[in-house]
Order: sequence, then structure tokens, then C-alpha cells
Amino acid sequence: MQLTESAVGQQARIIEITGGHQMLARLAHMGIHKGIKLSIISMPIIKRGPIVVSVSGAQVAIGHGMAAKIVVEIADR
Amino acid sequence: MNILLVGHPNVGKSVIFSQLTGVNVIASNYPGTTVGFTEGEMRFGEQTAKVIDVPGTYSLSAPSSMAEEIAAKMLAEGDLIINVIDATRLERNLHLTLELLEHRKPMVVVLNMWDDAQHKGILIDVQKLQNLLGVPVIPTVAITGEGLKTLQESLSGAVVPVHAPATDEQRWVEIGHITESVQSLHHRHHTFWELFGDCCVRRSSGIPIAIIVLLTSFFCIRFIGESITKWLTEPAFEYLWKPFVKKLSAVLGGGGFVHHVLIGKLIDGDIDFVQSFGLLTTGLFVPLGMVFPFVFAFYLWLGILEDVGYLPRLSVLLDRLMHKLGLHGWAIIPNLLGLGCNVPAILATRILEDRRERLIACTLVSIALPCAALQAMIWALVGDPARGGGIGHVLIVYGVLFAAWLLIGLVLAKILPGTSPDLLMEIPPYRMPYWPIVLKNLRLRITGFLREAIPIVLLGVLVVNILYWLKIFDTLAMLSAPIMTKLLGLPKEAIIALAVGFLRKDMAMGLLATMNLTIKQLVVAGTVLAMFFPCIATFIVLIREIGWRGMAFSVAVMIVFSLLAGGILNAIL
Repeated sequence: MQLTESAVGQQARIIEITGGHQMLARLAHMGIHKGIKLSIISMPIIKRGPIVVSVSGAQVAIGHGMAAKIVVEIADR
Repeated sequence: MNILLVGHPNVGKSVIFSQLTGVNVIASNYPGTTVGFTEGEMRFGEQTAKVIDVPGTYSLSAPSSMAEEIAAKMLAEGDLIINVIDATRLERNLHLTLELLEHRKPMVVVLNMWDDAQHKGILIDVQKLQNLLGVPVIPTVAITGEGLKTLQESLSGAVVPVHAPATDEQRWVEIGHITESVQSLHHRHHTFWELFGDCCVRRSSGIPIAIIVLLTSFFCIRFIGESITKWLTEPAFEYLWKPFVKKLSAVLGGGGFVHHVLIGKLIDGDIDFVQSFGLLTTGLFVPLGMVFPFVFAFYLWLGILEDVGYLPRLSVLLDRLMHKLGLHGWAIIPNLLGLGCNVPAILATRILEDRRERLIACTLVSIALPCAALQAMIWALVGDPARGGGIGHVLIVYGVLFAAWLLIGLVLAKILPGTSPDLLMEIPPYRMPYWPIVLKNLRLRITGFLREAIPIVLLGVLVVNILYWLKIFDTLAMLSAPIMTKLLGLPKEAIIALAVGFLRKDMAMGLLATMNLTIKQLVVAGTVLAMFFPCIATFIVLIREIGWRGMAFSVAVMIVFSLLAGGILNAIL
């Protein structure tokens, strides 16, 4: 499923990121890459707003377009 | 010898820079405070070395903003690298560290925010990390100065690392191994600040919190500013300065060219600090008596919001709105800065990704955002009951400017080709304001304001008085009379204020105060003045940042919208 379909409080693991090279690199440098576990802090306030996730101790806001290209599976705690 | 401070945004590079060099720079609790670079000097053994505070960057290989591009370019000029890492976020910081290691320059790694890491139950084996990276690793707490002496001593022992180039993926694997072997986490409960931080970006609680914060800001800034004016600056001018100026006026015989320039006009035989318009009266009273209190209040409040870490959360909330204006949430930072002074705001647009966004943000800032100095004067004149004004009239001005801000953004987003990139931003943790930093930032900004404002206001008053004396303004007023009187409903002399606004807007507003305008005319003139040509300081940075073509575009938008806003206001009020 897409990251945009997850819910607040869930833990998710990234299976794939379906963006271009530039986007992959930008996300990777923020610590967001294949295999890493995220927890969902907040979902958008208005439709198509950014999602806030917690990844390796930091919170990162990801715009809707990017988040829709991140494929995740719900991970066990 | 060049020493570079390199690291992610918001890891404390600027604080370490200040501590090492004694040069004061603004530091805040959000990424992207350093958008250009700052240089300073420090002792290095027997010699002095140049220290450069490089803008924060996540990566050297794929720069995604102008600030990151600057960082990547500057690396070539470094002889020694101090890589600053946020110890609470070791894993994500190490990617840049590994990239830096591949550059084979002498390097030292600083584990900053060491105290925070300990509070959060994060234990890092420094010795082991040092062995794995092959360069010295120094834990520090930059804001208290802890560990910085060790850092200075360790610089001579900086080692050229041996590290083979790798791909992003290989690096993440290596980082996994490193963090696993040097870092251990102890479970602990969420703190109040963490829970509150989450509330600020959540659907149900985020918007009410934002409204409360913005309303509180508005009223606190006004309250602090007005209190200082009422209890400090006005009495000081009235009781300490006025007797002296009065004596001088008497000595000068109450008239003539010198009196006209220094003291200005006497109103009913007395000096009126707002209306006399001489160098020693209005020239000093506007920047010191009326504008300074407001600027002080604004930057104190902004400094607290910055240091606490609220602003990035606000940009998450407003991301959607900003997208409609062709920007993304992050752009709220330059826009807020613009309410203080347009110059740093335009520099701050460097944190935005592409040219289109920067052009939109610069145009919005320079047209629709009144700086604190101008706002102070709008409050003082348009909100003055003695002139028939009040808070309602002030809100009309703000309302029109806000509408213009939205409208210009919507139009530009439509007509400029391209799309606005997605938001991708690290959100810093909340913390209690750290007062030494808040106060230092405040002091830097206030001295910056005084140094900039007073000479230009004085120069402006001098020029205006001489031109008045020589009756040069009469010609200008004649030429622009159709627009001024027909379209805007202002006396034709109001063009002088608009022209003076090119030097400083607060002084231009002061000049309007001498023209006996009705409250309606004040509202129209204040709004048009806010939107019309930016002051010269803003003009210069605009040209530097978006080029002549961008500037020409901005000016065209500005002329259309400011006359439109003024004309509509004049027609409906």
C-alpha cells in the first residue's frame, strides 16, 4: 500500500520507492530509504497535505506527491 | 588555512562557529538559518585559521536547494573539515559523514547535543565510533561550550581518512553496522514536549493551536511594542530631548534654512516629533521612538518561536495553502521573516528548491509583506484615534495586504510555468527557549536595524527637506497628479511620500503624517506605500537574488497590484 493510505500510530516498513533518481536521493539523504521502518506521526490536515513520520529518531514531513510514491507494508512493533 | 564546519541543517554549526571564533551569527531551532556562509578566525596552534560556517546540507552529491549547492561548492576550498553531528540522530547524520570521509581531507567529527542524547537514553561508544570512522570524534554541548576546548585541541590531530567511495545503498548498509555496534538505546516514556509536538501537526489539534499561537503573537507584539513606546521612548523624547531641541530652535531664531533642516516646522509654535520633520526631531523620533519598540517586540517574539521550534510545524500545517501559491510549506519561513524586514526574508528564500519558487516568494515578500518598521508607523498613524483611525482601520490595511498576498500568489502560480516541488523537511524537536541564544539573536537583529535605519532615515529627512526648500517636489507632484488624485484620492503631494518610501518606508509614512490626510486617505496611502516599490535595501538584494529580469517581472506585478489595491480601496471606502 502507499504511505498515504496508512494511519496515525502505525509502524510501516518501506518496500519500494517509485520515484525518479533525484527524488530517491533526496529521500535517502533524509534517512528515508528501502527497508527502513517509519512510524506515522500525523496524517494531512487537509486532503493532499504532508504526512509527518518519525524515522531513526527524527521527524520528517513528506509532501503528498512524494508520500504517494512510497510503498510500505505495516510492520509489527 | 580554511576550516569548514559541515553538517546537516539544525545540528548547531552556527553555535559552534560563534564559540570558536567569537563572531556572532544568528542561530535558531530550524533548518536553514545559515543560507550564505559566514567566516571568522580562530587560533590554530601558532597561526590563525579561517573558520567557515557552511550552510547545512544533507548531501554533497545531490544538492536540492541553493543553500546545499553553496555547501557542495565550498568543500573544495577547505583544508580541514569539522563534521558536526546531532548525537540524538546519529544514524541519519552518518550518511553525510561517510560522504565527507571519501573526500580525503583531514577531518574531525563532533557529536553535538551530547546532553540531549543522554537525556533521551541514547548511549554512544565514542571510542568505538572513532575506530570505525578512523577520525577523532569529540562529544560537545555547543550552547554551554562543553567539549569545545577538546575540539580545538583535537584539530591539530585531525586525520586524513581512508575510505573507499561507495554508493548510497552501500553507505546505508555500513551505517546500519556502525550504529548497531556503537549505539544503545534505553526505552523511556514520551516527554510532554514530544507529545505536544505531535499535537501541533495533527489534524484535530494543529489548526486551533496555530490560530492561538498567531493571535497571541499579534497581540503580544503589539502590547510589548506599545508599552515600550508609552513608558520609555515617548517620555524620553518628551522630557529629556525636547527641552534641548527647543533651546536650539530658539537659538536658530525659529526659522530659516538651518532651522528647516534640523528642527523642521513648528506646529502651533511648538515642536511636534511626528510632524515637524527635522533631522533632530522626526528624523530621530521615527526610528528610535516609534519604530524601535515594535521591531524589538517583533524580534523578541520571533526569536522565541524560532528557538522553541514551532515554525517548521506551522509550515507543515500551511503546506497545502502554500502549494496553491506555487510554493510549499517551508516558504512560510521567509514570509514570516518578511514581517520583520524584507532583506533577510529575501535571503532566506535560498532554502527553496527552484528558481520559480524563489521568484514567487521574493515577489510576495517585497510586495505584500510590510516590514516591522512600516507596521509600527501604520499602527501609530492609521490606528490613532486623534486622526479618526482605530484598530478597524489598521485591520483594513492588513486585510488588503493579506488578500494581495494570496491573490498575487494564486496568479503567479498560474502564469509561471512549472509546478511547486513537494515538501520534504526535517522537523526539529521542541525545547524550552534557550535564553542566551534568544537574547543574542535579538541583540544582533536590533543592532542591525539601528545601524541600517538611523543613517538612512536621517539622510532621507535631509534630502526631503532640501528638495522641499528648493521646491523640486512641486514638479514631481504636478506630473503624477492624475494618478494620485483621480485614482487614489490622495493630495498630489502624496507622491513625495511614495518616492521617499524608496529610501525607507517608515519615514515615508512619517511624511504622510505631516500632510493632514483624512483617515480614508491614510488607509489608502498606507496600503499603497506598503505595496509600492520596496525600499532600496530590499531592491538591491532582490536584484542580487533573482536578477534583473526577475526584478523587472516583480516590479511589473507590483505596479499593477498596488495601483489596483489603492484604486479599489479609494472607490469602496
